[in-house]
Amino acid sequence: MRRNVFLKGSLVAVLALVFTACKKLEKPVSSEVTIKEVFGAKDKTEQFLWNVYSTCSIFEFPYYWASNSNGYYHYGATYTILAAACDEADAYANYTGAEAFNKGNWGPSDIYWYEFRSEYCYKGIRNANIFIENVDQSPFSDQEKAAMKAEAIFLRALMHFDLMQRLGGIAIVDKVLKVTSAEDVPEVTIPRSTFAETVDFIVKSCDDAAKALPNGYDSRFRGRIVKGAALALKARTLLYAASPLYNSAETYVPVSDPALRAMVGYTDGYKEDRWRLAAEASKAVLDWASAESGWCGLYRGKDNAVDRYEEIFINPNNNEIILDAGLMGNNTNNYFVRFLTPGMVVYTGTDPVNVGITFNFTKFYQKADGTEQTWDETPGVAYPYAQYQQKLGELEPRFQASVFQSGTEWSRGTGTRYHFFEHAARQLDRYNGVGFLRKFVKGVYNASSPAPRWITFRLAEFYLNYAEALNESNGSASEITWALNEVRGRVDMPGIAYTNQADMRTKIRRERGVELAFEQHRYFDVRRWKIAGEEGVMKGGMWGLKLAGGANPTYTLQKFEDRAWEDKMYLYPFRVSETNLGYIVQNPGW
Amino acid sequence: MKVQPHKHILPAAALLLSLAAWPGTAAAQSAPPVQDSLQRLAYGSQPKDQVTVSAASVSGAELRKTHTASLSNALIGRLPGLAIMNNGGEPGFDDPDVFIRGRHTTGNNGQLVLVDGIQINSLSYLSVDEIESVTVLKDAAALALYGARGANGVLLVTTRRGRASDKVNITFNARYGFQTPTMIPKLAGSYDYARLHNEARQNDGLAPLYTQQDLDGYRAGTDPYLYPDVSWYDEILGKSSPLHDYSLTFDGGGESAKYFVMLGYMNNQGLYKGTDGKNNANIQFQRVNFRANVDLNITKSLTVQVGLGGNLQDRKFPPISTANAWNNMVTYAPNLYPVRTPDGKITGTANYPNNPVGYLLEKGYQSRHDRNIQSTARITQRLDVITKGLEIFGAMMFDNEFNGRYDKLRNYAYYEPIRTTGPDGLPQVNFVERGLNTDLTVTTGNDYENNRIIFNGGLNYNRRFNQHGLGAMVMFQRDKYTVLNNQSPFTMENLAGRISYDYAQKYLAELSFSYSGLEAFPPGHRFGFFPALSAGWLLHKEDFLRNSRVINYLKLRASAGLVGNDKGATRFAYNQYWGEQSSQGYYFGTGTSFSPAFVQLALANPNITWEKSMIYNVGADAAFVNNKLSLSVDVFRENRYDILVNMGNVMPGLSGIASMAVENRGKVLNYGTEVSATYKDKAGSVNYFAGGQFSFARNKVTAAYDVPRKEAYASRQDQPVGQYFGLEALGFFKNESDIASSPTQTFSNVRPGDIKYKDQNNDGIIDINDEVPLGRHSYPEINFSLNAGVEYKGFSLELFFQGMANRTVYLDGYLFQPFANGANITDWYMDNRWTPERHAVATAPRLTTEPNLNNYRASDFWFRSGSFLRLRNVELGYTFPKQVLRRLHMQHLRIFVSGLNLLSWDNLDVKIDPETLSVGYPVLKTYTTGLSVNF
Repeated sequence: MRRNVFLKGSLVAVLALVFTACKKLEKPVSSEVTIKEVFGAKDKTEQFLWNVYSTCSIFEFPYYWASNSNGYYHYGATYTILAAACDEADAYANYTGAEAFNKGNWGPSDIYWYEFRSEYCYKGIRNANIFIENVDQSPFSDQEKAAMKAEAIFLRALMHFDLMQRLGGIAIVDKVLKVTSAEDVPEVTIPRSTFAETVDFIVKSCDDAAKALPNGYDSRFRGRIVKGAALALKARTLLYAASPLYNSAETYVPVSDPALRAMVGYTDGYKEDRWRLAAEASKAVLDWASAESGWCGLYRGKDNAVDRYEEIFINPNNNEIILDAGLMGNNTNNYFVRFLTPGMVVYTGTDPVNVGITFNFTKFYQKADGTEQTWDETPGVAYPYAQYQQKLGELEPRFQASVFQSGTEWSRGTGTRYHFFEHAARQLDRYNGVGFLRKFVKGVYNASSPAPRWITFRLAEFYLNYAEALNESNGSASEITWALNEVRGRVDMPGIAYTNQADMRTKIRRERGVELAFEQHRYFDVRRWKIAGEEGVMKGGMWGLKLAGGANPTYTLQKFEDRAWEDKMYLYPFRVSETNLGYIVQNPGW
Repeated sequence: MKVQPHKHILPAAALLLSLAAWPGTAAAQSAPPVQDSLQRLAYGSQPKDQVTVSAASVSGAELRKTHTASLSNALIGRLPGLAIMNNGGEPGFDDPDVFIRGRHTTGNNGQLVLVDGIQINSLSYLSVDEIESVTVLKDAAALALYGARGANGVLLVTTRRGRASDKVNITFNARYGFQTPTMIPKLAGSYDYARLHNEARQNDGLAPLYTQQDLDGYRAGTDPYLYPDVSWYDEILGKSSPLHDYSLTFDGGGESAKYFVMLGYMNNQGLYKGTDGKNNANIQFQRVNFRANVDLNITKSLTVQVGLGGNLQDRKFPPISTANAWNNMVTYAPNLYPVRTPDGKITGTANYPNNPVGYLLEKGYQSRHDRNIQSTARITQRLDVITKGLEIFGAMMFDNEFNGRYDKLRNYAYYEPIRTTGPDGLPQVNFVERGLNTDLTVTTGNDYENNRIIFNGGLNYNRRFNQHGLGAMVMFQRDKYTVLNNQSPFTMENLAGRISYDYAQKYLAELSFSYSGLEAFPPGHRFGFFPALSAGWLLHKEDFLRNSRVINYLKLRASAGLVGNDKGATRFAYNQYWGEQSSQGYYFGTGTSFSPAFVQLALANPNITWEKSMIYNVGADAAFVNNKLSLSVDVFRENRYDILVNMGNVMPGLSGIASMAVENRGKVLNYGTEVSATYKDKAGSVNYFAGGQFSFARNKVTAAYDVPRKEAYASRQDQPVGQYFGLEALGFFKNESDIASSPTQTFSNVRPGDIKYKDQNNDGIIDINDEVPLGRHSYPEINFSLNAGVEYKGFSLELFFQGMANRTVYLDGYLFQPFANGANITDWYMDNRWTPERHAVATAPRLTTEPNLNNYRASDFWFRSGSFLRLRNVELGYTFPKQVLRRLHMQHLRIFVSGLNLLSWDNLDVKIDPETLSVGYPVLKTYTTGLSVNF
C-alpha cells in the first residue's frame, strides 16, 4: 500500500510539473541598456553625440588598410588622397582608388573605389536624427540641450552637403526612419529632392544651428562644432549652388526628364543673385571670425612664411581652423605613412604609394617675388639638374611648404638632402610629377605617430570664397582684392591689383588652387566650375619632370599619363544596389 | 512511444529486414545484432511493423566494417537520406559535414544529434563498439516530438545494453590500419618552375626573372644551395600514417540485472614525418572511450536503467593551422630556398618566413585535451494497479564536456639566403641569421567547458482491446545547457506526446505533437505547437495478398506535419541593445585623447522566431519472393518558411543601418525521394547478397529576399540554395585583334590566352552583371551506394561502393592559380596551359605572375561536375570453424583485411580528389587488418 501512495504521489508530481513548467523559461540576464537609459544619463547622451560626430565627420586621409566599414568611407580615395584623382597630384602605386578615377574606370557597380559611400552618410544622418529626437529627454539644461542639438543638426547638414557635392539633389532624411521590417521599405525609399531643395535644407539647417552654437569650447573639447562652422558650411553650400555646374540654363550633359533636370541643378537659368548670397554668407564667416569668435583669424605665427603656412597643417593648435577631425575610431593600424609619405624618407617598407605633385599644377605657383617662372622646357629634352633645383627653388613659400622636391631637406636645418635619383633601389625615384607631397605629411615621423587632423573648414577658404562670389556678382573691386591679398600677404606674397572680371576670375581660381592645394577642394572646384573636361585638368596629359642620375644629372619634361574623363562624371552615379531597388532616379549618362 | 516490445513482436516484423540495418552475414556474428524488431524513434521505440514514420537505422556492426577514425565518416552511404561530405582525413579534425535530405533552408542546415537522448555536438568521436544503432529521422511524424528543433532531421545514436546470458560474454576487437593520401598534387621542380615563371612574365610583358645561367643551374641540380630544388611534399610527408583501435566489451546478466561494459582505445597519427612528440609533433589523435550500461529490475514492475559513458580525446598538432601548412607546401616555390643551410639551420626569407619544415620541427607543438562524460538514469514504474498498460517514467541525464589546451611553443632564428657574386665572378650564396631562438614555453588557458542537464518524465499507456490497439505517451522535458562564462544558459522546454491507434494491427494511425519553447526568442514567439499525423496500412494482411507468393510484406505509409528549426537564429535578437563600441568615437582637443561613442547595436527584430517546415511524406516497405528481396521507398515534399533573411538586402542605403535586422520571411521548397533495396539468397553453401540505396533531394528558394540585381537572370529567387553563379566562358582570346573585336572585359587587362566570356546582356561590357546560374551547387542532389557480398565456408567478401551526383565543384585556389603569391604549378596546369602555339588544344589559361582577376573568378571554365563513384570499402574475412575454436575456449574468432577509399571515378578532368578538391589535408586510403574474438 505504501508503494501505491508513493506511486500516486509521484504521478501527481510529474503531471504537475508537466503542465506548469512550460510557462517559465529562463529570462535572459541582461546588463545591456535601452534607448531610455542612453538619453536618461548625461554621460551616455554625450557619448551618443560622439557617435554622431564619429559617423558624420569628414576625415579624408587614407589611414587603414582594412576593408571594414571604418576603412572605406571618408578615408580619401582608397590608399591615397583625392588630390591624386585630379590635376594636382598622382599616386605612383597602381592599387589606389585614384587610379580608377584617372582611368575613368569607375561607375555605379563598384563603390567608387571607396572614395565615397552614401550609406555611410546616411548612417551618420540616422545617428544625428536619433540624437535630435531624443536629446530633449536628457538631464542637461535647456541651453545645453539646444547647443548639443544644434551640433547634431549641423553634422546632419554636413553629411547632406557631402552627398550633394557628389550627387546633386539627394534624398533628405530629417527624421529617424523606422526600419524594423521589410514592410517599412516603402517608407524608407525616399525619393531624391531637387537640387534647390537640397541646398535650402542645408542652408536652413546651418541657420538653425548657428542660433544655438557657441563660439568656442574649452581646450578639452577643441574640435567641437562652433557657430563659425555652421556659417562656413552655409557659405560653402551657397558658393557651390551659385557655381556654373548648377547655376546655369544648360546642364553638363543633356537631360530630357524634367524631374531629373531639377535634381542636377537649378531650373530657372543663371541667376547672379546666387553669387551675391554666397558672397554675403562668406563675409559672415569673416565677420564672425574677426568680430565675434574672439579667437579665429588667419594664422600669422612663425617668422618664416614657409614655416608659417606649413604650421597650419601640422599643428592643429592654431587659430585658423574652424573645424577639423581626427581619425575616426581608435584603430592604430597606421598605414598613413605608407600611403602618403615619400618611400624611404619616413616609410621604409615595401610598395609605398608615393604621391607626386604634377607639373601641370606646379605651374600654378608663382615665384616668391610674385612674377611668373619661365617654363620653356621642350618635352623629352634633358636639361641640367641644377636648373630643376633652381627653378623649383624660386617658387613661392607655399610651394616650398607643400612639395618635397629633389635636392631639398625633408627636415629643414638637418643638412640631409635627398637627391631622388640616387635612391633608385630604395623607392625614392618612383613618383610621377616634380616631387613628393609634403603638405600635411611633414609632421608625421614614423608609423607610430598619428595621422594629422583633417581640416574641414579653415578661414582662408572663406576669403577666397568671398573674392570669387563677389567677383562673379560684380561686387566691389577693392573688397575683391582685399580678400585675395589677405591670403597672399599672409605668406609674404605681393598683392594683386584689380583688372577685370574675367582676368580676376582666372587669378582667383589660381590663388584658390595654390592656397587650398591638396585639401580636397580642387577635385570639386573643377567640377563646379565645369572645367574638368578641359585638356590637362581632368582629361588628357599629366606631366612631370623626370630626373636621371649619373655624373651629370639631368631632368626631362615628360608626360606620365593620359587621363580619361567623360562629362557624365561631373556628378557621381548612384550605386547600382540603390538604383536596382527602383526608388532612385540615376544621374544622367550613367 | 515506449512500448513493451515482447507484446507486439510479429513474425512479419522479424522477417522485415531494414535494408539500412542489413547485417552482413559474417559480421553479424561477431557483434550482437541490432534488435531488428524494434525501430528507434523519438523518445522511444516501436515494433517495426507499427512504424508509420520515415526513419532508417544502421547497426554498429555494419558501421564497424568501415575503418575510420570518426564515426560520421563510417556513416557515409549507410543511411538513405543522409548525405555526408568528407572533408579530409586530418586526425582528430575529420568531422565531416552531415545533411539529412539535402538543404532545407538558406540558413543553418545542421541537425540535432542525440546519444541516448542527450544532445551532443558531433557524433564523430564515439567508438563504433559502443553503438547499437544509428537512426535517421526524416519526416514530420518522426520529428514532431522535437518541436522547434527538429526540422532539419535528427540523428539518434543508441548505445549497446546487456543481453541476458548464462555467462559473461567477453569480446575483444582489434584493427590496425595504415593510411595514405588518395591523391597528392604533382608539382613542378625548380627547372620547370623557373622556366614557366619566365614564360608567365613574358606573357605579362615583363622581363624574365631567371637568366639562362639560373635555368642551367636548376636543370643540372648539382648545387642544392645556389640552385635549390625542394619538393615540400617530400620534405614534410611520410609514406603513410597508422590508424589502430582496440576495444574490449563485457556483457551479460540475468533476470534482475543486465550489464554492458566497453573500453576502447583509438590512435590515429598524421602524415608528417620527422617529429619526436616532445619538441614538435605530428598531427595525432588518441581517444579512449568507455561505456557502462546497466538495466535493473528492482521489482516486477519497477525497472531502472543506468548509463555512464564518455571519452577522452587527446590531440597534438604542429603550431600552424593545417590549412596554412598545406597551403605553404604549394605556395613555397621549389627554388625558394634549400630546406636547411649547409650546417643544418632552417632557412627563411622576410616574405616567406614560414619554412614548412621549420614550422613543423622547430616551433614546438600544440595540444588539446578534451573529455566528455554522459550519464543517464531512468526509472520506469508500471502502474497496472491503476489501469492496465499504464506506466510512469522519469529520467535525469547529464553531460559534461571539457576542452583544455596545452601548448609548447618557441621561435627559431632562420637563415636567409643572400645571393652575391663571388671573387671568381660566379654567383654564390651566404646565409644571414634573422630572428632569435627562444626556449619552449608553455601556454595554457582558454579552456572551454559546458554542462547539459536534462530532466524528462511522463506517462506511457499501451493496451489492446480486442482488435483495437491504443497507445499514448505524454512527457515533459527540460533541457538546460550552460557554457562556462556565458551569462545565461540555453534552455529548452518540451511537452510532447504521441497517441497511436491500430485496428487489427493492420490499419495504423498516429498523432504526435510537441509544445516546445526556447529562451532565445521573445515572449509570444517563444513557444509553439508542432503536430504531425501519420497513417499506415499493412496490405499483406489483407485477404487479397495474404496468400501471395510474390509479395510477402507490404506496408504503405503517409505522414504530414509541422516542425521547427531554431538553428541559425541569434539569441535575444528581439532586444534592441545600445552600447559603447570601442571602434567608434572621436578625438577632441589637439592630442590623441579618444572619446568613445555609444551606439545603437545590431537592429532588433521583436518578432524573431524559428523557421517552420510543413513536411509531407509517403512511403512503402515491402518484401518479395520469400523475403529474399526487400524494398523501401519514401517520397517527400517540404515547405520551409519563416527562414531568417537579412533585410539589409532589400533595404535602401538611406536607412542608415549598418547591421540590419533579420526577419522570418524566406521560403525554400525541398522535395525528393529515397529508395533502398536488398536481395539476399543462397546457392548451395554460398550465401550472397546485393543491395543499394538511392537518395535524391532538390530544393528551390521560393522567397529569397535577394539583393536587387540589374539582370533578372542573376536573381537568387527560384534557384537552389547555394546555386553557383558565374560567367560563361567562350574559350581563350586568340590574339589582340580577338580582344579588340570582343566586348570589353572589365576585371583586369586581358591578353591573348586569357578567358573570354559571354556578354549575357549584350551591353558590350563583361562585368558581374553577366554572371548567370551555372552548374548546381557544392552539395549533391543524389547520393547513392551499392553493397554486395558473398560468404562461403567461413570466408566472406564484401564490396561497398558509394557516390554522389548532381553536384558542381568550383576549382579554385592555388592549385589552379600557379604563381599567385609565388605558388608552384601542377603538372595538369603545365601540360594544358595556353601558349600561342598550343592555343587550339590548351585547356588552361595562359600563365601569369599577376593577380589575374579576369581568369581567376567564378565561371563555367572552373565549374565541373562533382559527381563521383568511390569503392568506399572492401572487406575480406574468415571466421574460424566452431570445432577449432572449442579447443581454444573461444566462442567466435574472425580475422579480416579491409581497404577504404581504394578506387574512385570522376569527371573532373583534373588530378584532384573529388571530395576535398583543395590543397588541404587529403582524403585517405586505409588498409586494415583486424580480428574479433569472443570468449
